[in-house]
Amino acid sequence: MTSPSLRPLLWCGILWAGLTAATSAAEFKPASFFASHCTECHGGDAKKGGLDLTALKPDFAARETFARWEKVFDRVARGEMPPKKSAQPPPAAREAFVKSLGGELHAISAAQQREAGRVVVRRMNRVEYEQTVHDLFGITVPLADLLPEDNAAAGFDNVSSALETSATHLVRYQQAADRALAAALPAWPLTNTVRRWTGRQFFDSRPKPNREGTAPFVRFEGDTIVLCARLYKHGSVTTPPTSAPGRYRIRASVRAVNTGGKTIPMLVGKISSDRFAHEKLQHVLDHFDVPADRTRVIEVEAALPAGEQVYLEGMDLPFFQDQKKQRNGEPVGDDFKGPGLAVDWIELEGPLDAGLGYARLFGDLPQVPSRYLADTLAGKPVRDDWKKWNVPGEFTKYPLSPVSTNAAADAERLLRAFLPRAFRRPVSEETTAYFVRFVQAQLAAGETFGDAMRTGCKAALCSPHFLLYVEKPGRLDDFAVAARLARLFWNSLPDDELTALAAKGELTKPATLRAQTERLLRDPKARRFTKGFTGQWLDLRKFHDMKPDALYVEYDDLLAWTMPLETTRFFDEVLTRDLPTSTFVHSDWTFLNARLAQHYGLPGVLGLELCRVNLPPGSRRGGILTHASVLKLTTNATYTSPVKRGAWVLERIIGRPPPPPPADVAAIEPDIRGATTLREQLDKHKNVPVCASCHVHIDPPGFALESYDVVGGWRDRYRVKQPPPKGGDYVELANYPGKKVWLARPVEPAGEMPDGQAFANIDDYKRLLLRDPDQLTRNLAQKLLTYATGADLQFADRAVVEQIVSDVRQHNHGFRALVHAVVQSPLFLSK
Amino acid sequence: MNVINSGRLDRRTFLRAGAVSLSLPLLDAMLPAVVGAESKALARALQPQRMVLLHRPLGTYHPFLFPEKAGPDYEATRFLKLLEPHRGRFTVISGMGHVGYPNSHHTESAIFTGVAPEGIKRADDIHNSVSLDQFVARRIGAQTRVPHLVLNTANCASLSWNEKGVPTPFERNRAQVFRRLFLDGTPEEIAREVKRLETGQSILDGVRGQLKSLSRELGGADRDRLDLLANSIREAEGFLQQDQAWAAKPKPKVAATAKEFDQAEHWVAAQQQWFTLVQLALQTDSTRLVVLGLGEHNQNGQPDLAIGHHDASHHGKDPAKIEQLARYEEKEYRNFAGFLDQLVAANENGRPLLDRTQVLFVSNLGDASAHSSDNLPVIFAGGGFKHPGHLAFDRKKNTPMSNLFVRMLQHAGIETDRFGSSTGALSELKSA
Repeated sequence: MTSPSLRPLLWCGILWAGLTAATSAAEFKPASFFASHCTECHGGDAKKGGLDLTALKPDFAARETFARWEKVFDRVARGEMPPKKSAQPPPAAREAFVKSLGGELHAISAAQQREAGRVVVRRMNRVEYEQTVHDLFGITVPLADLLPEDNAAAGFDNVSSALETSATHLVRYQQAADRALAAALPAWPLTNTVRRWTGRQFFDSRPKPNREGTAPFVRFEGDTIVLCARLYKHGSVTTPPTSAPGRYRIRASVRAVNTGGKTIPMLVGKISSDRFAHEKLQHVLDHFDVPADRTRVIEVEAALPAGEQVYLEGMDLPFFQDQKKQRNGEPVGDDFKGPGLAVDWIELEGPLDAGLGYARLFGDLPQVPSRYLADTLAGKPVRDDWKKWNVPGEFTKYPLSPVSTNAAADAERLLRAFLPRAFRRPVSEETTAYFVRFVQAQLAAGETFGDAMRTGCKAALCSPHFLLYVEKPGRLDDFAVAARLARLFWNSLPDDELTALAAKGELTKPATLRAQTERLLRDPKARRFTKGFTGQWLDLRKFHDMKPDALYVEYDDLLAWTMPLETTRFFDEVLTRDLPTSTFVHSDWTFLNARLAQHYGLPGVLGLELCRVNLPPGSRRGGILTHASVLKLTTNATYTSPVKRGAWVLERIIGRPPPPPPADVAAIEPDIRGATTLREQLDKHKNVPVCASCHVHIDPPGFALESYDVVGGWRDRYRVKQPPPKGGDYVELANYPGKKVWLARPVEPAGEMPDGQAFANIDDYKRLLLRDPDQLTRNLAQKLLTYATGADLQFADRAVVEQIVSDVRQHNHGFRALVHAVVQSPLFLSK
Repeated sequence: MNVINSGRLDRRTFLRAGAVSLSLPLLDAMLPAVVGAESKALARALQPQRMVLLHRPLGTYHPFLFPEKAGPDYEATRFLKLLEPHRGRFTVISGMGHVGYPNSHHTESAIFTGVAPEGIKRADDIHNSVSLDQFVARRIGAQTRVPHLVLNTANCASLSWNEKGVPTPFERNRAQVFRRLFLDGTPEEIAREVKRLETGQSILDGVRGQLKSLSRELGGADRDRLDLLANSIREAEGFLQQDQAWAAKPKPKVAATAKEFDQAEHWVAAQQQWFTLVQLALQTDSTRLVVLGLGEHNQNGQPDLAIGHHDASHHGKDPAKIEQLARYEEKEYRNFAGFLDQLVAANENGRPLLDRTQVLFVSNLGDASAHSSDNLPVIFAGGGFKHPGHLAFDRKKNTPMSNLFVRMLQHAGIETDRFGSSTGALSELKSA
């Protein structure tokens, strides 16, 4: 069915059924197999690759020895050893060896798992910590920056083995808890309010200097303001400032006028961005297409700091400075007939979660400013003029404090409600009693009820029950599964529905589990799964780390904003529609807006909002390998390296990471003057066996992707900064009329696969990759399982992975089916 | 030296950024009879040992840094010309690196740990060991308000790591660091802080108890991990107790204000502010260990820079790009020279502060255009060494930088003969 070199791989997958079914594996006697096929190179004096099989003892309990055996297993099972040039063992001998060694390894690994589970008790990483605390209290204040950075293992930063906890963590958790509680329990009343400004009200609300800056570029139609130039930040229409940090909803009623029927692209941005943030586009909340002569109400939801304002920027309008020059400083005035962006009103709603933090900790207890607390508790009449106090005003001196007439009883009642939510499971009497005593000790020391509870809550946020995912060996209970589900899809803690199902013991029923997985995935919070998983699987979170060389004149903010969105929207589409995992390698559609379509040279796409577009034949696009985002982040932003891209494809897409390069390898020194190419330098590898053994895998995808430049544009020739010594041309970029660059040598995207199959270009290469859909599913299963459970895969997990692959194959390799299979798998449901 | 209250040893003193006077820490003054010329080693052991580890990304353009000739009378290269006033106070070391490291940016994480190459092979799977600053911090304890100051400008990996391979959180807000070091809180704020630290200790005590009961419920591997966590509690309690001991003590006064560290027009000025902050911290003996990661350079506000630093570093032998890179680096070396100026001008009992401060200025890349991690640009200054000028090792077979680390530790009075991936101590550097 497939090429010869892929056969052992598939065959080794099929083998698993038999292997795991056998209760006792065949007796393991490797000596004769080694002697016949291996020790000539790996024994006695010859220790190629540092491996002496005659000295390798079957002492599987030692971790390092186990890893060596695992490597031996893989190389033999895949048919990579003995090397092709040597005599091959008879298939039956190979099979027997693989089966008996596999049996041994599986048995040892499975026994370890039975005893201790796969996942050593792990702490939250700082992303999980921040999101969990945010959701617990309905706050958005940054917390992760207070904690040490997390190490990663197996490609993900939530893998238990890499998550050590230091004394610094313990101290910093206290600081983070203080910061979170300050945000959760504001000193003054905070309510979710809607504040709307008409265009006129916005204008009138501006301080005089701002108003004068804006006035020459706007006109009014009744209460509607029409922006007639490209204004931004304070100069343009903004929302009222936010009252406190939190989640907000921004809405605006807008339309394009005098554009001759043309849509105006509009940016919605934050005023507060500094120039570094600007470089990383942190000021951009979203982009919209504003229709001509038809009102559209746009809506954005965002976490905003206190005092933030959100502005609208009509991107096609002439820059205000240009317009000023053009009109010799003449203000546009009411009779201006040029194009404009009309804003009827703009609205800010929020904080959307106002009061949630207080309710979670203090239930429905009333609160008063601290100044009135004693009188209130003494039952004396208290004035309620404070309800009209300005904020923050007097509240900074007299913060709101909860009123409890029975502090001890209230404390216990409230803690009994709070602790199980924070700890994600029912809390033992012993633990509850500790926190009750802790708060009572605070009360006894003279603290107010509010302060005592706050300190108690801080202690809870520093508790191992909160910070660790506590799971017991074996099958997980429903609460642990709920915690895993919420962590996987929301980076957070379970909501009421998950908790209720866990309490009833129903969550782990397959049908319920499936329904809940669907519910979690359909929730807007599932964006965190897309962001978290693609951020690390594809490195998308590093997208903005480096800015491309100035040689790429076409790269601009809009392109930078669009590129990663193509990939996350694509991912969501594959997930939502349960498309085959091979879609990640090739598709005949993608998500584009006009800017990215221009970059790809695809005509006919309008507007800035990304939409699904069918790709014409010969588009050279389709699948994430051809996404500009991936193509950019697999370079160093200055030149492309086939090695870097090739290794990335092996690790992320094929799931066969190459070993790190040997220590004594010399760095390749690129020469962008056009004299030599990296390809020429890499071709030297072919003749050095120690290099060739890995580069035979690394180079093919790297070569095929050479057809795409640093910013993911198609290229037939390399772009250079200056005229090359010979053979250079100064030409216009195909998709960017008017922009000219120097082109030097032609790209050579052809190559051959490890099995000798030749490919001429990326399309060919993708076709060859698609020969083995099982491997694409297998790779994604491994990545998802690692991310979902917080542990790298172990030998005994291979059988489960193969079961998942075969189940998902029945569903046409659907990606959503794969996510369900992962969640229903014994790996997800056991420690 | 201009000690305001020269009659007695007063911790509170007035300092001015730039032209400075101080009376801290005055160990010499306290111990003049004990320490004579007869025992330099003893004298060193009793003096505060300071260490400043500076990292900048993106390597260097070798021909503009390394001189041809070894020894004290080398001919200054383009970059070394900027450091000429300090000739004799520093050593430029060629042919040094972390041997066996991959050619990649992510080796930043190991620049001051020198972890064995296996630990730093993959960017997404780092197993680091302890960095120099934390190794020293553990051994000298908390003699200062801030046991160690880990500073980092944006976009740089963690440079400071503990024994478990956990990165130390870093500060990236200059004004905040300034406030922490030099601005006293109100009495209410101090009282609140003391209470916070006391409560913190009782919270930690509770964590200990909860871990114990959790341990009973869990299996072997989990228990081991919980034990490790429990072991960290004592250390964390120590941190809080130290903070508490310092909380009520008045902070040293300096003439600068937090506002001066709030904003910078461009990265060159920002670096200068960082250096001034470090100098003030050392001079007031607020800390003795500093790690400072520099980075995030762009051409904004610099008329002679046309492209980004990272872009320029990938010069691919293009002369125009090399010139741009050189201009970036010149600004960095000039700033570094300014820092040395400050440490020389700052007096500690008649001797320049630099003499008691080991300063290492280095990048994790050798030649960024090739991403190579050998032949690192190493400049080592101060500390009371007889600086041999240009120390030239084999550029093809590098001397491990960990050997320099061992030498630095020994000089700081810490008895050890190994650190990171050392193969010995750098005997070429002699104590003065």
